[in-house]
Amino acid sequence: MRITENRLSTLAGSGLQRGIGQLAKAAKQLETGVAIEKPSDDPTAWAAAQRTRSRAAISESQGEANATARDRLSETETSLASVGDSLSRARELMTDLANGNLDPTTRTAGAAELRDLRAQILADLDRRGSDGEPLFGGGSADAFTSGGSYAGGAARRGIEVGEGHVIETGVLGSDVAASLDALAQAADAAEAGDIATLRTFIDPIVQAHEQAVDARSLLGDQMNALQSAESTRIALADNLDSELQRLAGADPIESASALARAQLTVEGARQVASSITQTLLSSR
Amino acid sequence: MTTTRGLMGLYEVGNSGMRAARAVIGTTGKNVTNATTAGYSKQTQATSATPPFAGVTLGGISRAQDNLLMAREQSADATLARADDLRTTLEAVEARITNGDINVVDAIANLFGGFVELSASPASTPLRQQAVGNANSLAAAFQQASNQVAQGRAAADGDISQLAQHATRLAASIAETNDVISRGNTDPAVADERDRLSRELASIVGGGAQTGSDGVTRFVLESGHSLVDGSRANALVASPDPANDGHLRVSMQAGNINHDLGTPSTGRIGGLIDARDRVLGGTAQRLDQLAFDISTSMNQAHSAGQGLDGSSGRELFVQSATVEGAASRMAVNGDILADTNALATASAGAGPGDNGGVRAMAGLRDAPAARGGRTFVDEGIDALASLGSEISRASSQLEAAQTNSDFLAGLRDARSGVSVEEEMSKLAEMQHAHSAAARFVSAVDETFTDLLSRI
Repeated sequence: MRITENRLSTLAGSGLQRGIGQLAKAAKQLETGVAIEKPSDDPTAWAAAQRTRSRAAISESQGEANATARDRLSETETSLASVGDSLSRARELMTDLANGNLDPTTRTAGAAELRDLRAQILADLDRRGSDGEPLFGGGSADAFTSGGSYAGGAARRGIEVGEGHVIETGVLGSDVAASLDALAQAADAAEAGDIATLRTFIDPIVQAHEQAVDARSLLGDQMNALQSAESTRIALADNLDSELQRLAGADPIESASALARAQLTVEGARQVASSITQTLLSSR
Repeated sequence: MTTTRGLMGLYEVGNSGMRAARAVIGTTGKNVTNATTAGYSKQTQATSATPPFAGVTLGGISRAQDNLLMAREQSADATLARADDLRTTLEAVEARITNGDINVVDAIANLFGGFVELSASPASTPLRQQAVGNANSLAAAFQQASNQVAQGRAAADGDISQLAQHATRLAASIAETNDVISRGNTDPAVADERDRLSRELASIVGGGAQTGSDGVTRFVLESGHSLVDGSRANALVASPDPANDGHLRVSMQAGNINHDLGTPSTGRIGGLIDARDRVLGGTAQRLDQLAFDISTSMNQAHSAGQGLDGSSGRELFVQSATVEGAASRMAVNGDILADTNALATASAGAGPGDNGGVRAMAGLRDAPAARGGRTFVDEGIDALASLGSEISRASSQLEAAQTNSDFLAGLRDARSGVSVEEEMSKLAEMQHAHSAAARFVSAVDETFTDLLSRI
């Protein structure tokens, strides 16, 4: 086929242009570390990468929810520990007061301490978390009335901690509130010197103490479940990260190789263009 | 006397040789100076022997041109231009709606993520503000994406209008050159100019120039209508189409009759219309449908819940009455924006610390409530990926068209291009021919002088 000088120049120029385009693309991939930036780069890979990104975003939120739940459980655990200590002291005191040989002054002091312990337990069970919600309120605005009656709800809080994984958390005030009435009546009986009545309230306080221990154990189980779920979630998040890198990321070694190849191509095209120019000039 | 007449005739033989050499040199010079002129076809000065062996007769100047090849090039140009404009128009929109704050898919994921976080502490003011902020960002993303698509369509309309006007001017110019040629102008440069104008017009509107058996050159559109018929040109008019939301439709105006050209399958105008209506129009519809579906589902769940202020039955998003325009109108309920306590996180009738309401909204993440039974995230991904697929397809078509165009350009260059080396060789040849003819005339002159001196 007949080839004119014009055609030669055009071919040399377009070859160089193509090489420069490849070089620019390779350089950008190496610089950004991203191979798939937009859907048209590779629609299928982009869609898969976007899906992975969305899952990763939700996973991160699940991690935050898990952390919030654990913080709340820690606050709850602190209150329950105080309740347990108070109940333990109350049992000890009531056992002492059940001794019929105590003088009225000692019984009065003992009754006062029982009332103080009741107030402390009520304060601990009525405590609010850092977000202002009652720790033992079951979702209600308030956990207890001023008189010590449980006014909270019956629902524990479900926390989404992973894909399709929800953990129920929290302790209801009603689970550990039975001691409040018993302590009030025990204090009255102690002050009146009614030892027989006082003794009838020792077992309920022992049971209340066991309930508090059980509640702490339940909290511990919930905390362990949350921590285990978080470990699983972190492993998933790492996998999603790797998958995202595989789908959309540019392998640095491959990118560097592509850059080197593109540089060779450009250099070759430049030499061809230069050679053609020399040939054309010398022929004139 | 016979000898004298024969000698005088020899002068003419020599002169005709010099004239012919000068004419060929002139044509060669024209070729060399236009070697890099786009669209220039190599010209050849025809010469023939004057019978009987009485010198050289000059013929006309012809240009090296293959009409079939030209028709193929016009078609290739039209295909290339269509793919190029289609891709360019779509790429501009894609770049804007898949990045940063306008990526509706990321915004949807963030909306649900915010609800998941809030469900762990429904009364937390910062988390409520974050959740409402995410809803607001989603609405903004839909508005901006819808806006960008609309702007892309408007830009296509602007380009279509300008191209229609330019095509009309080109058609008029072609008609003028037809007129010049029909009046007897045989200058090849005029025909070259007509070819150049025809190629440019074909790249804009598709179709191509055809010369009929009657010798009249017409520019015929894909629809079969003649935009140019000899010395007469019609106009291309771009006018708003009320059946297409006022977007421009292109028609050929012939006298009082308008012929709607529809969506040409080649040419820049065809590419722009296709991008505007089929692709971007489709993207706009999907965004509207997605925004509408998200609003509807979220509002249903939110209305069933209860805010910290005890209120129930409130919508989260301002519900659009129609699907059309839902994306551009998407907005968070002003009551909730003003007071995040109005965000319904609890189940109806439950206490403020209950998280049943916000968990119900978070759970919509996996609901097959979008188009085609997809989740909202999947539908958003599919809508954007479809746009990417169209661009990818246009890029492939462009590459194929470019390869074909390059091949045809090579064929044309081989047929009609100027080789400076060839012309230089011819120039040297004609210089020698001119010198030889001049020497011949000189020899005749010497002979005549010698003859006269003896008389």
